[in-house]
Amino acid sequence: MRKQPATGAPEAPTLQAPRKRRAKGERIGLLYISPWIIGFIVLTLVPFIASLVYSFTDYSMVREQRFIGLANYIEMFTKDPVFYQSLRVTLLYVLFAVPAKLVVALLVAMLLNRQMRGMGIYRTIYYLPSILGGSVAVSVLWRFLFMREGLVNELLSYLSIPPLNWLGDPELALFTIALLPVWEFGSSMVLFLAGLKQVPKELYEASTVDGAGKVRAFFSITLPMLTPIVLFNLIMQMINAFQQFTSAFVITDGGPMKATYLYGLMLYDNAFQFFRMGYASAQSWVLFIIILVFTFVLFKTSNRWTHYEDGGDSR
Amino acid sequence: MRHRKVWPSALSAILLTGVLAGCAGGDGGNSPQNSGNSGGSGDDSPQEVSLRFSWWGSEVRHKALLDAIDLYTENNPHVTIEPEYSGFDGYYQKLVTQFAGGTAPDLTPLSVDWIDELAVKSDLVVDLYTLDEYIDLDAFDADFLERYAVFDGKLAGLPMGVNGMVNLYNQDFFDRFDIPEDTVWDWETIHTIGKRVHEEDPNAYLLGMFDYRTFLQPFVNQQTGNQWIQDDKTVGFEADALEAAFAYYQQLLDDGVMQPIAESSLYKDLAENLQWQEGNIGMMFTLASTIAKVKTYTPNLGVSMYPVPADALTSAVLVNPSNPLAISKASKHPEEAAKFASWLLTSSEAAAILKDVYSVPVVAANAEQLVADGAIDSTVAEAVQIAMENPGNPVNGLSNNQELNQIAQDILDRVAFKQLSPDQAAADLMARLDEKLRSMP
Repeated sequence: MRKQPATGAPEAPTLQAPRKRRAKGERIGLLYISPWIIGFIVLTLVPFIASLVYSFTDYSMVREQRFIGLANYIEMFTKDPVFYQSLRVTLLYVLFAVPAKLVVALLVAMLLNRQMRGMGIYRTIYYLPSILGGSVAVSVLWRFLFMREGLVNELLSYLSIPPLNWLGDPELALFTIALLPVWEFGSSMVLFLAGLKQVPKELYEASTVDGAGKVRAFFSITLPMLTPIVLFNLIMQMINAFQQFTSAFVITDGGPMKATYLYGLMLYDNAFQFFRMGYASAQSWVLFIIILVFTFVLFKTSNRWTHYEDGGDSR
Repeated sequence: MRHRKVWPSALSAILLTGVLAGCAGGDGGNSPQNSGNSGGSGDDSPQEVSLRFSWWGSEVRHKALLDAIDLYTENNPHVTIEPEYSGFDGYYQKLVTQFAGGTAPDLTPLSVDWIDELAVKSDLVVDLYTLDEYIDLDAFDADFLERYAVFDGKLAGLPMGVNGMVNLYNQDFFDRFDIPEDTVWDWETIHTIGKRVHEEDPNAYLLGMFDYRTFLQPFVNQQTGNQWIQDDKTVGFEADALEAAFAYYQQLLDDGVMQPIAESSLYKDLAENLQWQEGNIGMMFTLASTIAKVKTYTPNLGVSMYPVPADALTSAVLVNPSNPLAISKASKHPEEAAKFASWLLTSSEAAAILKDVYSVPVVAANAEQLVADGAIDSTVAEAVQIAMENPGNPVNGLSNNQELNQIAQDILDRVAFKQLSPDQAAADLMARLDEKLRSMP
């Protein structure tokens, strides 16, 4: 006998009726998610495909566009030194900002994983910078903090450290910009905190009995148990970092000497300063592929260093 | 039972309608223009028209333009003018997007840097010579229009004011270092006096920073007498002229005539530089239109002629129409837009309202009246007068191209940071400009 569908009415008289009802249920379901589907198609899928098409044209918004084949891609890889400069800067930014953010997030999560009074308040306070997000206001604040005459140099002067030119020195500026996302570690921290709560207490008890110290317990228990969360955070933060725009735009405008000219800023300039939409589209596709490759490599190598309690079967 | 099933469907339908309405609302961006423009009334009275007038600027400018619009619409009740105003940041991006989407305002000022793209290459604005029966062109100096607002034989916009490059100096700084205000500046005097200033006070600099527009282009053009980039898409200079410019720039930095680049590069605008505000920087090359803003930080300002060497082939003193007011080709009522633009920029009552929000008016009679009434800042008026005494050739479209100028600026920065020697920088810039010019459509 056929299994009664969960949504089916008990009085279903024929075999046709449940199918009809299921179809109707699907229609209603589709209707429910239609705002999302329409939004996705209109605001994501169409621009996504359009940008691919534009990348083979010299589209500039106001002038007639021509199909130019791979010319944009050829120009990017063979004739545009700014592209390589920007790519180099962006890779350095990702390589510094992402691991630094995860380390800070993990450290703070471990601090906040203790049992003590008022922990809820501490957690909220540490999450606050992330609520401010990549906003313009925070970037402006950063600019003032790290100016030559800013608060950071003022504090350093109390330690008899000579003032540093945080934003004007090409060697330092990228580092200063990359500190901003590190400070906004909240979302990664929350995930780590959730992960830390899942680590079985017995493991720590067993390790204590076996004479392991705190450091050994961290590297042999905590970290391995958290690796799935490390992987998730790593991928999400890497994608975000590759697309970073606001801080470079507001704090340094890509300078000094293009030392903070992140990929997102280069894209913006080509698209909205020079109105080379075709070229900018090609660059955005190259960025998409770079992110795809990095993500793929991370996934592929992850089974060597991530540990799942169920052996990874549920992945 | 059936009733309960109706609700989800109804709810979904409402949501869906909302989404579709939202999308339709997006298209509705077109509608103010369309609905306004199609609103004809009776046959015997003038047709009701609605114009969209968009501009950027400060609060003072917004208020003045809104007052002018009120006065115009009072006297011309069949015209409705919808003002759309904002700051400068993002204005160009928005405007280009509007042109691309067919929703550009009927009237908008253009920055001179945009004319090549919007008026010449893309042909998006009306040639105002074709509307001469609605515009009092005789009120303007025909030579000025011809030199600064006509491109490819077409009048791209009506200049809302005259703008010119000058030396703007801090009078207190000049007093402090005994620099005579009537010094006739050339590049040599800048170096000599600037070096002395820095030797007297290591925290003081005669100059703050240079960019391609205030230094590189004019410095080179003075030696060549050419446009920076010529109309035939070739550079208007040899490597020697560039090398001399870069070497001079490095010398200024080495000798403390200019604030070190690592300190000044943080500020896009010298007026915001703390050292300028604290009176440790003496002078800047800037346009007359920025004087009002600089005055808010430094009240005691004087102006003098931009440095011109005795043997210069052109003064290269930049003179600009301040924001030519253009009419979009998509406008349904170009004649009415032209009438309003003409009134706004030539009538004495509009001039009395606008005062110097667009620098000094181009129409001489209005400018004289405002100066006589003390309605124009005397420093601004003097600046424009000085620039107009010895104007350089009008800058052509390609020399204003933002992508080409960004290349020049990048190299200039690398020279300042000593990443490139003057000869390397000259060779590099020549090569990159050649490459870019060859690939331009």
